[in-house]
Parts: sequence; structure tokens; C-alpha cells
Amino acid sequence: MIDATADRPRQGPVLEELRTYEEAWATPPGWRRLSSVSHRVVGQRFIVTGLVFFLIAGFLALLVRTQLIVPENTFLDAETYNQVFTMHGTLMMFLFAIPILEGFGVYLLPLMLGARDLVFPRLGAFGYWCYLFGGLIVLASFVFDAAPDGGWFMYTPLSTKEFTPGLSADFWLIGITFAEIASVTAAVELIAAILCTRAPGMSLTKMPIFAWYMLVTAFMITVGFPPLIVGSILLEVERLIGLPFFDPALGGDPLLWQHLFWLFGHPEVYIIFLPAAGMVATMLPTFVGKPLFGYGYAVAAVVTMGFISFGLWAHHMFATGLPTITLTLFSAASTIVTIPTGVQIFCFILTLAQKRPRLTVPMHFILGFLFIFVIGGLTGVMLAAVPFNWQAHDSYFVVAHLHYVLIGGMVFPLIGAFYYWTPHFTGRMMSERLGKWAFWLMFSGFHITFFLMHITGLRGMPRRISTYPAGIGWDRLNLLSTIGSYILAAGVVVFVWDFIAHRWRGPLAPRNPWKAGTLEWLYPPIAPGHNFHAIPRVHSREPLWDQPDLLENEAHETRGLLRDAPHGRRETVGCHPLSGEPLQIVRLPHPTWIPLLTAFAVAVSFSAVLASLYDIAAAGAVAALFGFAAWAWEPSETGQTITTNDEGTLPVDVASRLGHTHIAIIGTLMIMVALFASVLFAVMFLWNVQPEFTRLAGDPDLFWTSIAVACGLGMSLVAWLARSAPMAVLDLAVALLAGVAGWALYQAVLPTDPMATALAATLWVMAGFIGTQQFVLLYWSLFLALRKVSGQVAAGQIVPEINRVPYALVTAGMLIAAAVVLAAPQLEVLK
Amino acid sequence: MTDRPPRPQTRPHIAPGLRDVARPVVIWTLHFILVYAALSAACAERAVASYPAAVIAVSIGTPVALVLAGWGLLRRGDQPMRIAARVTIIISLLAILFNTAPVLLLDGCR
Ligand code: HEM
Ligand SMILES: [Cu+2]
Repeated sequence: MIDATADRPRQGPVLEELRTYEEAWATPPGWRRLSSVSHRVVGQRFIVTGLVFFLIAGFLALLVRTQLIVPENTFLDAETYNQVFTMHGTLMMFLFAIPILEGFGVYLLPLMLGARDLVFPRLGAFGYWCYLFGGLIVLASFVFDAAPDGGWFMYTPLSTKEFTPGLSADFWLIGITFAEIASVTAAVELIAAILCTRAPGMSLTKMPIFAWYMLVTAFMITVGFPPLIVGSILLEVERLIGLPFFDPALGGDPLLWQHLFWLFGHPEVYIIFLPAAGMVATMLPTFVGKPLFGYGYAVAAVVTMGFISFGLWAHHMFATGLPTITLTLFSAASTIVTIPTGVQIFCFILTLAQKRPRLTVPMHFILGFLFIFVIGGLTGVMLAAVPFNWQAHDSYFVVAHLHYVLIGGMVFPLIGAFYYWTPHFTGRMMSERLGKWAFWLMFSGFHITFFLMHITGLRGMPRRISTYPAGIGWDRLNLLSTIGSYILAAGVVVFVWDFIAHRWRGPLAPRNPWKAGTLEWLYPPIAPGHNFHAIPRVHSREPLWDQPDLLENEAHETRGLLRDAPHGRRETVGCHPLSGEPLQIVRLPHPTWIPLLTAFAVAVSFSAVLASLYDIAAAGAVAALFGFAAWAWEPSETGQTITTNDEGTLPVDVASRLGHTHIAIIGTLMIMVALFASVLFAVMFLWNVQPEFTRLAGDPDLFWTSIAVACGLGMSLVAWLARSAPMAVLDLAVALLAGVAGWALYQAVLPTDPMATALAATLWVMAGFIGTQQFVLLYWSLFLALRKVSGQVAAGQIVPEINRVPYALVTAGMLIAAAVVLAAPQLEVLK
Repeated sequence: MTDRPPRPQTRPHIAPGLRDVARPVVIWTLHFILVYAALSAACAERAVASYPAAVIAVSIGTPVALVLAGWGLLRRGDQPMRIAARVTIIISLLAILFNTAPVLLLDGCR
């Protein structure tokens, strides 16, 4: 327990008798804190940065509402207005919602799962810096008076060079793509953490429900973000060098952008909603005092939502002239996704029905969430009906709907989560009184602002207009909406004030302040940097409720694995992905500057592209490559063993396909496959809608295509052999074959002219993408050869060789798919 | 506790349930891709396939998908994974039926 006489929260306890161990886990003081890679530090950085973006974007929303307060207002001119609503949507969706939720995941998951840190702390830190730099690039557009103004979905042809000259769209494309790197790296990290570092005994079905939500979300990110990354690259390439992907005159199609954008965009709203719902599913049982009703149902709902939400994208394109039958497909899918959503909401309602909840501040926000989100879901069903959609399309009805689901489904749970978990961050409680003020102001302000927008929309007011004439029935509704938004903003201000001021005014947080059942509350706030002195065996989903010994003893006296680490290294327990039984010891890195420097190099590279300074861009990319190499150079520790207290002896960093690095490679490959599939989608889409352009740009060379495939297969074979016979020669062979395959692929597409047709341009992109994959294999293999030659590797240390196999196989698969695509038009004639 | 040494090789009992959670949604995905591809083949400029061909593809694919996704629905048990599997299967079956709505409701691309 915290010393009652102490007036400041303290992190600890710090055990003097375990000096090396405590020093290994200490966060560096002063400005060297920036080198920290601990998930607790990185998670808080994500959360605070996300909050700042929320405030900026919220301020922009107030500007929008202020402009619309009266008809024919001149507060903002039309151009500024466009910039303001675009930046509002962009910041909210890309730089607030996703990163802040990932931040909570990064902070909370190891604590809930019983791990001392995330498995790849440096990756997390790298992701954070990418996010920060990407966000700064987007924000910098204001400074250069080049803020994007094409709407948060940047539709072509408006966003092409012809209609948006200048740099505004480039700021958007480059900054957002950069920030998305952060999201996908964090996703891989969360997948590996959830699957590979759980407390002993925590099988998948004993996992806290939040971990299920985050696991599905992370998988959705790996598949859902690539379409936008590909779309952004295509658009940026079209803007920079004029490849005609979206130009109908050369066989392109503006709708390609819409498909790619919404292939990302619709899953994105679920990616935003699911973690927030997971927070609700975690907090709600605490206040009801009973476990979540229907754990199995909730898992099923989350998993099915994760899949079905990928089949809805074209409901954002109902007004684009797609065939009626296609509209019907997407309308049907959009209707059916309500079933899992409903199952999940009923889990919450039935949990509530078990017992009267304690009406704390987080509980207020949970009830607000249920009320608002259900209304948003209902208007969503309305919009899924094609005829109604045509009526309401691009009107304020849509603005109302999207804010009901986003603010109700994400912001309310999030503020609740802040009240709930802030004691864990700061060791102090936020104010119950201010919290209730914040809630009621936000709740009433929200409905005044957005409920009325349904009516404004049905009365015909389009979204994204900077002003409107008086006397057509929109005046009073808009006035009230604006007043409502000020009330909503007042609620946010109260919350932010409380969040800041509680650090000196808030009462000290006791141990397990909310009487929760999940492991993150094992230590009295603020938990020590290593999270768990010993990692306890877990027998239930609510260990703090069902294993009374955990809270009866002092937290650092808990029985469990790895009571300390006398060798002064950071480490945690790695588990079997399904059963949760201990499998290995995962060695973790200490504070390091490399993630920051590498991310900075990438930032230099991206900004240089923006400024058309390609030499600097290339230099930045090379520096980043060196950064990655320095990152991965450390000696392998496979082969060592650690004696844990209770569970016998465990090997360090096992060379197995169940190991954490292999799982992470699988996650990474999901991203790569999704990127490739997005390119393939672009190829097939253009081929299908603009048939007359198929062979206008010349035919690929099939001889070189077959060489590329042959080398790709050879490369996979050698990589596979290298697993059982790790030798530098084999690494060099893989590198050589990868290089030749890439070069042959280049020769294969060389006869086609990418400037001539959009299809040829996408083929070049496909070849370029595979070329990048080959380059990764080449670089990786040279790196491994170098390590072997320089005596860095001992016998049996074959983790990288194991990991390279799936990478090579998937790349070879891509080569084969590419060969089919390149050959198909020529073979078609034969029949 | 020492009586439970780490045994990564033993197949944990949740694996079959987990498979029954994953399979139906994957089948749904494949079925969705089939329907979308069939409609895109029949209803876009290139007209790779005729409309009747698309209908035939969907009519063959749907029963297959329903059987593959529905497999395991009757398996008993009340562990969380089994419950999750059952609910996932039911939702996926419904969603597969909904995927066929366009060909059931309409008689051409329009
Ligand atoms: C804080 C309170 C908020 C207010 C008062 C507000 C207000 C508005 C208004 C008035 C518009 C329409 C602008 C127009 O069409 O001319 C808008 C658009 C939008 N808002 Fe919000 N909003 C708020 C919070 C949020 C949040 C939390 C999110 C997402 C997490 C969000 C996402 C969006 C998006 C994506 C658009 C569409 C932008 C576009 O048309 O390109 N908003 N908001
Ligand atoms: Cu959508």
C-alpha cells in the first residue's frame, strides 16, 4: 500500500536489495527519457499526443460551427473553410482516433496480460516517432499556407495536380502515409504481444476481453491500412511524375481511388470502434461487480465484425453509378453487420441487467456510449438502404450519423477510459465532481449539436458548404447546433482541466481503486517500470477477483515466474500462443536512441520528397537502412536458459515457429500481402473497366518474367535449406537470387510504357512492390551473411533463418501471381 | 505448480474451437469475393462473363459455402470457444445468405 503520509504518488516499490534488477528497469532521467522504449512511456506518449491532436481538431470543428452559426456568414472564406473541415476530419481520424487507442493498447496490454513490456519495445518507440513526425508534416501545411482542402477522403480527380496544384494534397498524402507506418507497426507489435507474452495459464479464453478486441483490431489494421497506403502512393506518384492511374483519358479511373480509400475507410471506423468497445467491456464488469455476460458471444461478435466490416466499403459509393446489383450486395452486407454489433451491445446490456452498477464517472460515459452509439447504429441501418442513401447522401444527415457513431462509439468510452485508467498513469484520482460536469455538458451539448443535424440534413443542407442562404429552414437549426457545439466543447475543457489539475489536486489512488478484476491493478499505483516483479499463474479471466492471494499480499511478494533478473537484463515470459503456457524467456531491449534516429531519417526522407529534393530523400532512406541494421545487429541469445522459480527452466528466445519474432513476421507478411492484393485489385479493376486500353502500352517480356519466377522459387528453396544448414554462402545465394529476380522483373516490364496507360502504370507499381520485397530479402540475407562471417552467430542460433522462410515463400508467391498477370493478356489472344 | 512443465508440443484443447471460429468467417470472405467477382465480371465494361454465368457461379458457390461454414454447428460443449464457434457459425451462415441477396432479388445488372 502507498504510504498514507506521503503526499506525492511514487512509482515502486523499488527494492534496494535487488540493485541490478531495479537499475535494468529504470527509466533514464531528464532528456534521456526520450530514449526510453518502455511500453509505459511510449503508450503515454501516444495518448498525450493523440489528446493534443484531438484538441486541435476540436478547435477546428468549432471554427466550422462558428462559420455556420448564421446564414451568409463571412467569418471564414470558402477556401479556409474547406481547409478547416478537411483538417478537422483528417486529424480526428488519422492522428487522434487510431493512435490514441493504440496508445491505450500499448500501455495496458502487457499489464493486463502479465508481461513486463511489449515484445518489441523499439518497434513501438519507432512507431510513435513516425506518428509524431507524420502528424507534424500534416500540421506544417498550415505554416506553409498549404493546408489540404479536398476533404478527409481526398477524392480524385479533385486531388490530382490539375485541380489541386501546389503542395496541399502532397502534405496530406505524405504525412498520412508516414503516420500509417506507425499504425501498422504498432499493430504487428500488439499481435505479437497478445499471442506471445501472456501470464502462465492465460489461455486464449482466459484472456481479458480487451485483448480479444485489440487482437482483432490489430489484424484489421494489418489488412485494412494497406489499401490506403497503396492508394496514397498511386496518387502521390501521379501528382509527382504523372503516371495516369486516375486519368480516364489514359485508361485510369477516379473511382479506383474511391475503392481503395473505402476498402480502408470502412474497416477504419470499426478499427476505431472496437478498441473503444473493448474498453467498455473491461470497465463495465468492474462497476457492475460481475464478469462480462456472454464472453463467448462477445468473442464471436468481435471476430465476425472484424471480417464482415471488410465487405461494406462500397456503401460509401452508392451515388457513383455502380450497377444496381452491386449496390444490393453492399447494402445487404451493411445490413447484416448489425447482427454481430447487436450481439455485442446485448452482452453489455445483459451485463448491466445483472446488478445495479456503481454510477461512477466512467460508468456515466459508458451509459452515454450505449445511448448514443445505438442511435448512430440505427441511422446507419437507414443509410444502408440504397434509396434512403441517395436521398441523404452528402447531406448533414450523414454528418450527424458519423458523429453519433464516432463520438458515441469512441470519444465517450475514451473519456470514460481516461477517468478509469488515469490513476494508473499518475497515481492520483481524477475528480468525480468535475467528471460528472464534463459528462453532462458533453452529453447534452452533443445531442443539441448533432441530433438537430439529422433534421438539417433531411431539409436538404449539403455537407461541406461554407455558408447558406437565409430563410430556407436551416437558420435556427444551425444556430442551435453551433450553440450545442460550444456546450460540448465546454465539457471537453472541463475534462482536460481535470486531467491536468488532478496531478496536484487529485487524491492519491489506493491499490485497485475501482475494485477491478484485471491484472493491471495488481500493484498500487504507480506500478513499477517492470510491471511485475514475478509473473503470477492465472486461473481465471478476473484474477484479482478469483485469486484472493494476489491482493492479500504485497504486490512485489506475489508468487510467480522470474522473481528478478540477477544478470541485469530486461526480460519477460513468452508463452504458447493458444494455451498460454510458458514457452521461453523473451529478452527485451534497454533504452536506445536508434528508433528515434531511424524514424528521423525516414522523416527527412519523406519531407525531402515533399520538397522535391530527391538526393536528400535517398540519403534519408539509406540512413534509415543503416538504422535498421544497427537495430538488429545485437548478438543472438538463443541457446541460453533461465531458471524461473516456479516453472522450471526456460530457454531464451527459442528458435521455433511459435517464437515471438516468427509470429511478428507472419503479421508483417499479412501487411505485405494486403499491400500486394491492393495493387492487384487496382490492376484487375482497371483491366475490367477500361478493356480497350489493355495492350496499348506494349507487352511485358515473358522470357524475363519466367527468369524472375525461377529465381524466386530458387531463392525460397535456398532460404528453406538455410534453416537446417545456416551458412554464409547460402545467405549470399539467397541475396543473389533475390537480386536477379528483382532485376529480371524490371526487364520484364521494361517494354511497357507506364506513362501511356494506367494499366501499364499499375503493372510497374506491382513490379516495383515485388522489387522492394526482393530488396528486403537481399539486404536481410547480406546482413545475415555479414553476421556469420564476423563471428556474431553461434550454433543453433537460427531464428532469422526460420523467419526468412515465410518471407521468401510469400515473395515467390507474389512473383507467380505477377507472372500470371503479366502473361494473361498475351495468352488471351491465343485462344 | 511445478507439476505443469512447459509443453509447447501438446495441442491445447481450445484449438478445435478456435478453428471453428476462424473457418466460417474465412468461408464468408471467400464467398463474398466470389459474389463480388462474379458481379464485376458480368456487369463491367469488359463483360468477362455473361450474367447467367455469374448467377450459376453464385448458385454453385453458395451451397458449398453454407456447408463448409456450417460444419461444426452441432458440435456440443459449453466452453467459451465452443460458444464463440457456434455464434460465429450462425452469423456467418446468415451473412452468406445475405451475400446472395442481389442475385435473388434482381434479374440483371442494371
Ligand atoms: C468535438 C466535437 C466535434 C464537432 C463539433 C464536429 C463538427 C463537425 C462538423 C460541423 C463537420 C462537417 C463539416 C462540413 O461538412 O462542412 C464535421 C465533419 C467531420 N467530422 Fe467532426 N466534429 C466533432 C468531433 C469529431 C470526431 C471525434 C471525429 C472522429 C473521430 C470527427 C470526424 C469528422 C469527419 C471524418 C468529418 C468529415 C470531414 C469531411 O467532410 O471531409 N469529428 N465535424
Ligand atoms: Cu462505412
